[in-house]
Amino acid sequence: MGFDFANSSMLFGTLLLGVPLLIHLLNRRRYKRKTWAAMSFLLAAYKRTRRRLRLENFLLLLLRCLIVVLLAGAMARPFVPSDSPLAVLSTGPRNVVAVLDDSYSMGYESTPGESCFQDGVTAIRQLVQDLDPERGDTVSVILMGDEPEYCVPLASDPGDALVKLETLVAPSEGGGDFSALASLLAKEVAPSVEGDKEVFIFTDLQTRLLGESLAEEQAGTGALLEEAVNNGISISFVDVSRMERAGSLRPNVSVTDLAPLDRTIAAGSLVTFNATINNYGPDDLNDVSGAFLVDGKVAERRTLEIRGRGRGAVEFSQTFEEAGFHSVTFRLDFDNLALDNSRYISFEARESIDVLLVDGAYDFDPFSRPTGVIGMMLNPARIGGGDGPGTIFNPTTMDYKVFNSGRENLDRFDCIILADVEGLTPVMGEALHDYVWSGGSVVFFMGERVDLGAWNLRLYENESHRLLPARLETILGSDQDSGQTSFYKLTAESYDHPALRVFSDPKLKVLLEVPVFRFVETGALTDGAHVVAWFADALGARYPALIEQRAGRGRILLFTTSADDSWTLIPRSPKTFLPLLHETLFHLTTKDPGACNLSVGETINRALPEFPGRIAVTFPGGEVREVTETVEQKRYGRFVLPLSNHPLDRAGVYHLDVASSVSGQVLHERYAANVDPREGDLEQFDKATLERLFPGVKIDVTDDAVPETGDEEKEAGGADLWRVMLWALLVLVALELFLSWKFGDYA
Amino acid sequence: MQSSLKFLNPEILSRISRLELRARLAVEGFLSGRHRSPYHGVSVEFAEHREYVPGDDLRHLDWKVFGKSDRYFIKRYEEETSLTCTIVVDSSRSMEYIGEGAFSKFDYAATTAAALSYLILKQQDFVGMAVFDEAVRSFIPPSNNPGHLMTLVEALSGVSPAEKTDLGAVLADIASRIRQRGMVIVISDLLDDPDNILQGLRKIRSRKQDVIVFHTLDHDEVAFPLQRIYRFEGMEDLLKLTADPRALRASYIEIFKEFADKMRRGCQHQGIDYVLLDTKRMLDVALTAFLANRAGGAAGRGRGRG
Repeated sequence: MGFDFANSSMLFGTLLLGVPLLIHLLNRRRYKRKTWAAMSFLLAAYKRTRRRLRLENFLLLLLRCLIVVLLAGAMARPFVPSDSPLAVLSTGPRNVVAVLDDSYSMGYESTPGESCFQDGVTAIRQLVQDLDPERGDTVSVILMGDEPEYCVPLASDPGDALVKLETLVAPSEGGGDFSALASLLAKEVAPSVEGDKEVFIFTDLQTRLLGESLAEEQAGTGALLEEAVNNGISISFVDVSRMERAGSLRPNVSVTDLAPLDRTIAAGSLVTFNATINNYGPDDLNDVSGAFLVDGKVAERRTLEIRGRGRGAVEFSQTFEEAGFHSVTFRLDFDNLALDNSRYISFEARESIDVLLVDGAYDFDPFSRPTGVIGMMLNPARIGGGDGPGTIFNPTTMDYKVFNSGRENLDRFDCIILADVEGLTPVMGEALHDYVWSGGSVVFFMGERVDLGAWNLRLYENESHRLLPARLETILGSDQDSGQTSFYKLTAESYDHPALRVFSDPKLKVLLEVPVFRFVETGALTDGAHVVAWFADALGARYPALIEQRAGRGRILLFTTSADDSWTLIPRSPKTFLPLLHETLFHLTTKDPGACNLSVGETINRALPEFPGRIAVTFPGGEVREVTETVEQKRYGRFVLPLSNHPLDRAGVYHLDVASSVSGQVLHERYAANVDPREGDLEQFDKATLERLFPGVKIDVTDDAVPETGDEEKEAGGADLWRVMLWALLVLVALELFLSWKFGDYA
Repeated sequence: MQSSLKFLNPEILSRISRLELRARLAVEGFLSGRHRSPYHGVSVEFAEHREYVPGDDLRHLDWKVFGKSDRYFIKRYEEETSLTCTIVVDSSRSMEYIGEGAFSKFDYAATTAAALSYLILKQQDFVGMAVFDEAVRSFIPPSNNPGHLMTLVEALSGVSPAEKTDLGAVLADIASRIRQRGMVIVISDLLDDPDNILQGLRKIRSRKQDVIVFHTLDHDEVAFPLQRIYRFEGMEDLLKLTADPRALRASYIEIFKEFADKMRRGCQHQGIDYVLLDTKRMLDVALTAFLANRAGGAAGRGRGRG
């Protein structure tokens, strides 16, 4: 049976058992003498009630003795092992919800081969084994990742859960979201399961689990937790980090960033990459070693020193001779948490950036065209016919009438610049709209030839094909040849914008102060548009100069002045115009870093201009998955690849190979998936943190969800019988009062 | 003398006296209602005149007196008013029990006997008395002498309850002593074998006696309200019992009621009036209520006959 007592000294209280006996005997001796006449009645009454009286007295004496024994017994806190038959008396059926932190920090191995995650699984297994299906105990297992996910459904049989636990081997490569778990507990678990619910969260107590510490977010989580607790849920965090004290720092080094210093990488040119490494541990590290890998092969090994809780950086330069997709990896040598030791980047080394310059008035003399200055500045060797070194830009000039004829394939250009164009045909308006929405970039320059009404009609008022980020209202300013000296100057809204960042140096800001005499005043901005720079007059009035808008996967930029020197002297100032133009085009033509560099769990979003043939994704481990889902979406002339069922579920470099259904030519692209580097910070929270963040919500932090019998600190979770004994005591007291009243003892 | 007067409680007597008319009616109903003379007036010796009151039998109206004085008088005869009543008082040891009140059962019984004697003598009827325990200890023959009351009271005051009861034998003895038709009033706690008691009463009744039983008990014996553990010791025997009255109360009351009911039914069966007197109750109130009740019954019977 294995009875034991938490406060065995209280068992001496059972000696009080003699008290009711003593009172009973003393009462029998404490009588008064009384002469009585009607003895015959008294004796007859006694004879009639003697047996009943004896029974009643014995029953009351027994009850009173039992009350004393139960009181002493309950105060001694008896408990039995959970496998004891008496354990069914300890509590009612238990409804246990085991939550396992599925963030990748749970992969931390204190000793090689033994991760927090595995410790969590083991602890859950012990918890489940401690349940009693015959008593009606139920269990559920939830994996707490970025979104909580049921591993074992609510109110499942413990036996089923044990089978399912065998499949849990390693954590996901994502993070964990406690607020999402709180929402699940309050909205789904609490109303779905009858009775009290015990929620045990097996976690490494990583601070990041609690979110970004935003007051509003925590208040919302706190409200959800309060709702859950009010609906019968008790919450306990179970520390599986093997740390002796929560709040201590575990050693861990993490690669938190890897990026090229240049935004656009040209084939054949030297590119420098910078890797950032964080030492989240408390100790200084003198020999953190790692390696840069290019396209999966080790290119260079590096060693660096990083102070405790500090950050280090290493650079690596490489020339990519071949155009196309490449990948670079920085990988640290082994430490306790492997998943954050590597960071991957994928990019396309460009042969050239193809720019189409659409002239509003084509002239054989390049300097007489509105786009002439632009062409010269993009690639002087190509436009000017000189012998100087070329740039990555490959400009093509075209008269707007040819452009409007619709014969040109716009998809081969990375960017289209329209300067002083009178207007667009409806067909080209739609074509330009589709081009932008499928990922192209368009820059509009104004000029004397621009028909504001026609532009508004075609590109602003037609909402289904709207391209202008703002309505063109009227031309402001005066001709620079009119003799008037008033002009406007360019001022940046913020130098954070990539196109203007180069002017953020105070010495270079003056370069923007080139006079602008005329420009198009714009009206209300369309949704999503924002002003990048302004024209300001001497009195401080401001008018939008540069308006940017994202449309679909592409970008639109509206310059409200001219590209030539008819309205402004900017084109005559190469120190201003050249960096502004280059940076703007780099910004516009750089592929969205998020397009090929993703987080673990995201999916590749890719569209092609023609129907794809064979589609295959090669995963980091070498596994090749043929994508057989139907290509069914077609937007803006593009076929979207059906990759939503193939998320990038692990960190590494992925290869996407798509064969053309027409030519058979294979498109080869690389994609990088990285874990969230913040998960590598293993700083822990403790109970005080929880009390501060969620005041009023009772949350325990323990080391073990299943206490060992005999350990007084752990007995609270065992088969403790004192509650049921107290209930029995109450029942006996009530029964004693009732019987005493019934038997006439308290008449 | 002083001790003998305690049974002539002035308050009780004054209350009864103030109820003169009622008492007269009561006594007439009480004493003569059941014992109407078999001689029907004229054939027996004339005794006195009494002023007419509504309800009197007009056959006894003295028309001669009416002719002389123009007032109505009723003629009364010796046999009609001369009722002989014997009061039998229990003086066994059990009658000595005193509960919370000031009177023992014997005191209460003796006061009852004295009050009734006073009333009877005041009506110029004959009253005698027997005091008994195991046997008849004193027997005072009936008399209507006004000084006879003191004789009776002194007989009562001279009693000291000390012996057991044998009520059945006593009643048989008294029955043998009574020669004349009349009335017997038994005042006792009846703590004896009920069958013997009823048998004794039957013997008295067979002697053409109207019998009234005043079952006199202390309130403790009726309601058994004791609240603590006692060692009960019998007053007429050596029995002892330690018990908690609270536990026995229900059974005790049940048994007492069974006994009282048996006595009541037995008396009713023989045409005997049975009256339970609780010493907690004021004696005058109890007596007045009984007399009034009996008078009402007599009037009813009278009207029934008339």
